[in-house]
Amino acid sequence: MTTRTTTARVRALPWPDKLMLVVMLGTLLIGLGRLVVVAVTVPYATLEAKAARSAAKAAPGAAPETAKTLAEYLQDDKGFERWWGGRLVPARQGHDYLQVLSQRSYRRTLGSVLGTVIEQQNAEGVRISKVIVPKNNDALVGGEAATFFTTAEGDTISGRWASVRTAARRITDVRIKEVAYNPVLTDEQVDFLNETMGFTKETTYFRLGAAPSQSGTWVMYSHITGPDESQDRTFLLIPAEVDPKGVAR
Amino acid sequence: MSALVAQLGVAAVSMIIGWIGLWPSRKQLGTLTYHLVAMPVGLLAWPIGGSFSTWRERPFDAITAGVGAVLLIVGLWVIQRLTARSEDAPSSAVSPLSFVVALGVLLTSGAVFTALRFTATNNDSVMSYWPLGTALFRDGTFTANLISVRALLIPSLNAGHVIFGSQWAYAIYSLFALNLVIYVAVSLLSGPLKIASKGVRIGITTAVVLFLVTEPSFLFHSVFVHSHMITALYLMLALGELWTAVSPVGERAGRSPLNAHLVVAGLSAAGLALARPDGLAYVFVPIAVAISLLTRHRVELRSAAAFFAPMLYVVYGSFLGAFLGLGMWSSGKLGALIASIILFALGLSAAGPWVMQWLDTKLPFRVTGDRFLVVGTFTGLAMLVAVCILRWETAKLAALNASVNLFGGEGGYWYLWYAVVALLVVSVITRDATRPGTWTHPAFLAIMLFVLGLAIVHSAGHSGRVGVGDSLNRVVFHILPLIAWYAGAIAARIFSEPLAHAEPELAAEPVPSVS
Repeated sequence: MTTRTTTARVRALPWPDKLMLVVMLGTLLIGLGRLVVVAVTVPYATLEAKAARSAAKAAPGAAPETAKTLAEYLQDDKGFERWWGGRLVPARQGHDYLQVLSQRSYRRTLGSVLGTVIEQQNAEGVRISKVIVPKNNDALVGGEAATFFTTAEGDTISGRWASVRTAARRITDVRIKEVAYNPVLTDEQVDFLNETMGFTKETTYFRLGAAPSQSGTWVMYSHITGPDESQDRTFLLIPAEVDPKGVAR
Repeated sequence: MSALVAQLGVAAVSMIIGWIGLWPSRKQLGTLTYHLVAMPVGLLAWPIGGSFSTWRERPFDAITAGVGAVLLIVGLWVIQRLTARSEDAPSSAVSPLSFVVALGVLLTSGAVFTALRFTATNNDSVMSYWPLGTALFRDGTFTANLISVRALLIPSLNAGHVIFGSQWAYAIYSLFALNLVIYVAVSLLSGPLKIASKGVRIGITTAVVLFLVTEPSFLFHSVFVHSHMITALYLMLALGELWTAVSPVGERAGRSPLNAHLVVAGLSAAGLALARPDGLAYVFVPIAVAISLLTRHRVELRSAAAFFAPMLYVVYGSFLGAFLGLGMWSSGKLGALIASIILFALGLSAAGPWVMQWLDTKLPFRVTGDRFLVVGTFTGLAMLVAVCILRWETAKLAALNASVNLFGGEGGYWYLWYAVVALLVVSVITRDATRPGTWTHPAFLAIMLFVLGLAIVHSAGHSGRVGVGDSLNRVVFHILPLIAWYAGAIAARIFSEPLAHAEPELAAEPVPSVS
């Protein structure tokens, strides 16, 4: 069909069909326009943010960062180093996990990484007594995280999956703080939570853990904010540890 | 190389399983459809394998996966043999070269996706889908948590990825998206656009594909490690194959349903049911469409079996191991009792075509053919009203959150749902939504049924929240490709039908014949 006949054909259409074509064409054009806007603005915003971060780092008089990096921490803590080996964190080794960390879910993600490791270590009779967590959330994502799918809320819900080496380096260089790895919840608190929140075992037991009845399980209690389950959820990072039974340490 | 194997192993093996499983129907399906549905169909072997390992208490390893593949293939061969009709003329032979090309496209595009390393995650991805897959690989057993929270399919696929050495499966989600885009294009070209001129075919198909690949939600779900892209794929495949099996063209020619396409539709419906826990609710959309198509004329046993038998075989086969291995598991979401009831209803639905045919003779109004979908839509509407009355607080919050997300810009769709509403409303005015015997009428009703199902499910139990991560906000994505297909079908009608009141030279323009 030539352009001329197409135009004539469209002109000859009844008005509902013309309206339909307007809706379709409008949708398509807006979509294409949006793509152009995103293609132009997102890289610019990323570059701008990167420049701002670099400028902030280079600014004279900036308060020196006193917290240790994870790498420095590992050098000082022989017990932890024995446990981890001297490797980058969290590079995969054996059954460890490398996970993509986002600003919003890093605590939960870190929880799953730790949970896996702790479960394995528990099975081998190693007791985990403390946990180190990043001091600053942003440092985990780093300046290299893509912002292609950044939401209006500012959460990076997606990013380019960094190479293992980059991700490991980023985590290794992050400044950290130390928190005690003790059961956050006492038995009474657990009972109280179970009663008030109506948790089922499926939701309370950490999903990577062994069967609930086994010893050596570490459990993760989810804490649900809001009136019902559909509301936003947060997870307590390291809730409870059950010492392995009958394992000499 | 190992990264490629880890990312593409499951997809490639699934494609081969799909090829073998659908081998008896390859000619009836045609080259493009046969290759396009091979991977999605082959993926169904993994939950069957998981079912086997759960039952036999053995590891989820290559042998388990092999058993899953054999069970799927054997079952499919038997079903296809029993439902094949001699009058189903082969549409074309499938050349050996096409296998090389199809696998080449899969591996090449998969290699690109692997190299790009784009992946999107949320808490469900890292705390649930992937760990459940690794746990399934490690323990070889479905768990109550796996079944009730994430359903059987995706954890099984993830367990399969672990077999191939994957640390994190991500490329396959982009492959689902690619498969979906191509299928939408092909089903439009071989369906509503078949009688259009070459220019119209190219123009409309390009527009639909452009729309999908520039839509942020589609791009996001292409890399999002979750259930949405695969669910959208299975929903589109199920409905697209149903409409191909009983097309307006075939209807006018007095042709019986094409059973090979019904088999694929049934398998895709099974995939839909297994991809998410709420898939067991949404699977009733393709079932309703199937009943409406099968009852347009006197119900044929072979055609009904062609759709229902593979669906029930795969779904029951996947759940069987859970019942045998776990017994009556308990769960706040999808315990064994609730699952049994739904599975029983699913089995009962196979009698639906005959029940509706019988009711049609007893009731004062028609309930078969397209009217079944109309009746279903009004029944769904009545159910929604009832749910709103019974659970007003939840329904009110769900509606509020959905409106803020979809129309207030918080759900990440920008203007899109205004355009969708406009499209649906205008399509009623143009009668595309209501004119029987067209490609668009059943598509409109299927969209309505899905939306009603979505509203019922969420009004009953998910008040939702504002933000991209809201469940309804994500689930509504499942019909986006279908809406794009619907728009393409309407455009095809506009540019293909003869104009009754057009200028003389246009009205005289010949319509290309069906090739």
